[in-house]
Amino acid sequence: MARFVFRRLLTLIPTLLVISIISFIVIQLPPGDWLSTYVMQLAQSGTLVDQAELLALERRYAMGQPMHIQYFRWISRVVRGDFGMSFEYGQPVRELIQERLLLTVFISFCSLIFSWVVAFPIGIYSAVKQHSMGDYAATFVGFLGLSTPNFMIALVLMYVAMQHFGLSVGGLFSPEYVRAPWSAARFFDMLKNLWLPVIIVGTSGTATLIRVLRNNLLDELQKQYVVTARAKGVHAVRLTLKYPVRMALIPFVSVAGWQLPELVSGEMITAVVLSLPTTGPLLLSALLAQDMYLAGGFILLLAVLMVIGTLLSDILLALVDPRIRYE
Amino acid sequence: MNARKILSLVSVLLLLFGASASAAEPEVFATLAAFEEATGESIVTFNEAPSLAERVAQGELPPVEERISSEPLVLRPADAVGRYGGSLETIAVTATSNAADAVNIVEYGQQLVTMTHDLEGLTPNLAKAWDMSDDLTVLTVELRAGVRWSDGAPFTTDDVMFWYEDIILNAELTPVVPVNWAPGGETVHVEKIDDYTVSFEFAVPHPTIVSAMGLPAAPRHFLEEYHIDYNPGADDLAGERGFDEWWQLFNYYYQIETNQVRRIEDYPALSAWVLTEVAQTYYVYERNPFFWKIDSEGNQLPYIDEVIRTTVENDEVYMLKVMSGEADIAAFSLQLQGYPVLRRNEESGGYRTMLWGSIFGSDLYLVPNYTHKDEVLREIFNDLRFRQALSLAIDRDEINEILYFGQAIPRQATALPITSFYEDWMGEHYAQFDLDRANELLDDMGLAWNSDGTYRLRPDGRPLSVSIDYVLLEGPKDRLTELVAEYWGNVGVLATPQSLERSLYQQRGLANEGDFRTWHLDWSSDASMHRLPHRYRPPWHNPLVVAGGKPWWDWYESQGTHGEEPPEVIQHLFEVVDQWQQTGRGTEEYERLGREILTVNVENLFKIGTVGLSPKPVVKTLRLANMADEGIFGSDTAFFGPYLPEQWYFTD
Repeated sequence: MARFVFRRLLTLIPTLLVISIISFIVIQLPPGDWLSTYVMQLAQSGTLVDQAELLALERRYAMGQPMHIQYFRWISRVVRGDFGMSFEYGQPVRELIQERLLLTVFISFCSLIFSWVVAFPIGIYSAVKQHSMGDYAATFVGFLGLSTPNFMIALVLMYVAMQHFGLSVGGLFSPEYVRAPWSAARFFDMLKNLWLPVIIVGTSGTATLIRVLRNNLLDELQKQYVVTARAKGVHAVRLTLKYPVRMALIPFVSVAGWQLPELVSGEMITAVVLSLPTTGPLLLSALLAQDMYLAGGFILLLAVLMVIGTLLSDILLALVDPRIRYE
Repeated sequence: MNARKILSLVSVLLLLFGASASAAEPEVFATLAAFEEATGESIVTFNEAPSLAERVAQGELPPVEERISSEPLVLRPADAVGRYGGSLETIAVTATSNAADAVNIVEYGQQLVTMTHDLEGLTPNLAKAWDMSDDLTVLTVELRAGVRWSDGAPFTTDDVMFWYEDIILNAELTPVVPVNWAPGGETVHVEKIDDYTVSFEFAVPHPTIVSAMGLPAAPRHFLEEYHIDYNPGADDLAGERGFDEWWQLFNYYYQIETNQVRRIEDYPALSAWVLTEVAQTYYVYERNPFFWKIDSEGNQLPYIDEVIRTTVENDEVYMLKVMSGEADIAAFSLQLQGYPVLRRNEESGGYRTMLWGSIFGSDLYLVPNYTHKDEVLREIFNDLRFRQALSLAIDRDEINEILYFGQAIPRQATALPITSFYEDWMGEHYAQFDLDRANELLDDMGLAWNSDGTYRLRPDGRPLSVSIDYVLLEGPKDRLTELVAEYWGNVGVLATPQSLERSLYQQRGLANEGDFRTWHLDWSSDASMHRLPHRYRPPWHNPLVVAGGKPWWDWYESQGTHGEEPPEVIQHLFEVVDQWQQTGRGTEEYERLGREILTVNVENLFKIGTVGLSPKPVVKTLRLANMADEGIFGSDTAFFGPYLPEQWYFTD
């Protein structure tokens, strides 16, 4: 086991290096660079822009250099933990991401829990009681959840929350708590505003989960070992939970690790619509503005999480399914 | 005529001749002495905000008399002398850009000279007086004596000289001097006359510098530490902070980017409010204890304690927050199309929606690419009859009804009617809807219809089809271009609107690509056009963005060594514009040349206009007093700046 993990960790390094090169190139593929975005931003609000100012900026950010030199400058610093400065914010990339990371993970984690808590009972129920009224109802709601885009639900709920509950929209805190230091009252205020994003981010995940669990379980329930166990008089609930459900979970476990990067970027569209102070909107604006180092830092982070997540998945899978060996 | 001496004359003249101006106009007096002389009133005691009085009592601050400078500017508030307190909530859709309601509220006050909100006159600000030589090459500025930066350090001509000698003339910090400070290609020469007087000498006449100089100064006491000439260890200091070179750290503090928001807390400033807290989703600007303006009863301004700028991620949330009354003042991201919704929520939100004037001579103007790489299209675009036909084919009244509730004005793409050399015929020129005449002009050109009569053919037999490039910002450009394309289709010109991401749009412009390119027509009033006539000569936009005919600009800029030689009329236009920019505003020559520039542009229809002057919704909370009810909102007027936010106050 330890050797397996070690070997996987070793292969991590070249993988990440390749990812960093590819992402650096991809970020720079769109026409123009941050300066062209900057010029357009100025033009929009009618602010004066001067060739001289652009030259100064280009020099300051070493933008005129060829791509491979820029890459080596960047990556040699990244190795030392310095992700560079964001052009747009004029702040270190690490600070910018750190600022928003905690809240992002918290929201994503809550919605993950939310979707599991809701999806597991419903999924199992609708598989065991296939073709019952409850199954049809769950299926119907599940399809609705699957097909409605998150941002649509977000817009509708946001309007309802403002118009009928008088909640402040956008952000995670009511106006009176935005600038307050952390306290119990502020935390509860956040919880009051948190349900909205949690439900919205959670719904599509929940719907998927219900569908997949139901289908996997239906397959298992018809297998001979279940029939045999049932014939031998094993208690129905215990039987279902102990064997078929466990089997039905295996496909989940194999992709569970992929939730890790989702924790950081999954709620992007919802977060933009709801104006949450999370990483999603920051990543989006970095990509739109071609804020090279910020976007690069993000993509590298997501890649690391993805690779680690896959590794965790593999280990988990081996634990859940004894048939898998580390060869 | 002798050198013009402009002191508080502006405000006095306003008082004497401004009969049409409503009573609710704040009045500016250059200095306390000028106020006392003009009004006969006198101010003997000075007051300050309770929070500052407390700090004075604790010995943290000098008394108010010492903080307001020895020559404070006096403001008679618009409606009433206000009361201290409150925080002004504003919202911004972007965290980084200056395109936000708060920005000109807090930073506008830092200029030497400011513009009045009607775009007509100039007001003394940090400069109590200025004097332009007869030949318009030497500007002498007299600073207010005893002004201090927000950290208490004195503001003198040393700060101006530091800006000049150590920033502008430093090749590391300023590789190329901005055109504004190097007209005619030669860098300005700045000379310190005494602690409060400084002169700027230019190689060529440069009349626009007075309104365009901003703040040519930097807090020397703060920045010296980061400058290699003053601190040999500046490079090491930069290294410790993660920079490669000293000038990078220096620039981190002294931002050259005019459009980026300052994110450095407690950086010395001269404005009414200074940035004191930067958080993820909001910025706080607190009152500047050393602000150098007082009201007509001796109260130190500003009245409002702090300005908050909250960041949201999109226009919808901005709108929802305004509707629920979470903004005390809002305009930037509001569009006329949202006006009904704003009105509907006025009562529950506790605010008022006003319609202000716009600075857009046309909400959308279209420019064909006169230097198109396709020779056939190029010839068609350069034929005046083609542009006349396309202009006549647009049903501007319908656009106005469909998209602007009939509130905009159908007109040609030209200057605002308030411009001194504007004439009524210019707005009407070829702005009528006349399909027959349009078809006649196109027939004249020999652009025959195809056999089915569905579209016209180019001389080389291919269908006459053009794209209309646009970027979706500042108004409903998607629907506007769709309508225009439909109208042009009616006369046989196949047009396809094409929405482009902003960087791609810019890159295509620089590469001389695209058929028709579009923008909103700002920079179209006296002061703004005089300073930057980009909208009235090739490429009819900033040369870094380009509307059409970039190679013509290259030819002009390189004095004939690059680009393409433009036709006679364009060469003449370039000359007239140059001449006009060196002519003092208000003279007969100025108006004659200005009129000529407009005439050449309109008669040749270099830009095709749609509708313009559509009103801008501006929202203010009912609690806010001394804030104008009418006005013009836009970059020309620096947004809220000239409405003097330092004299706004909350009534409760």
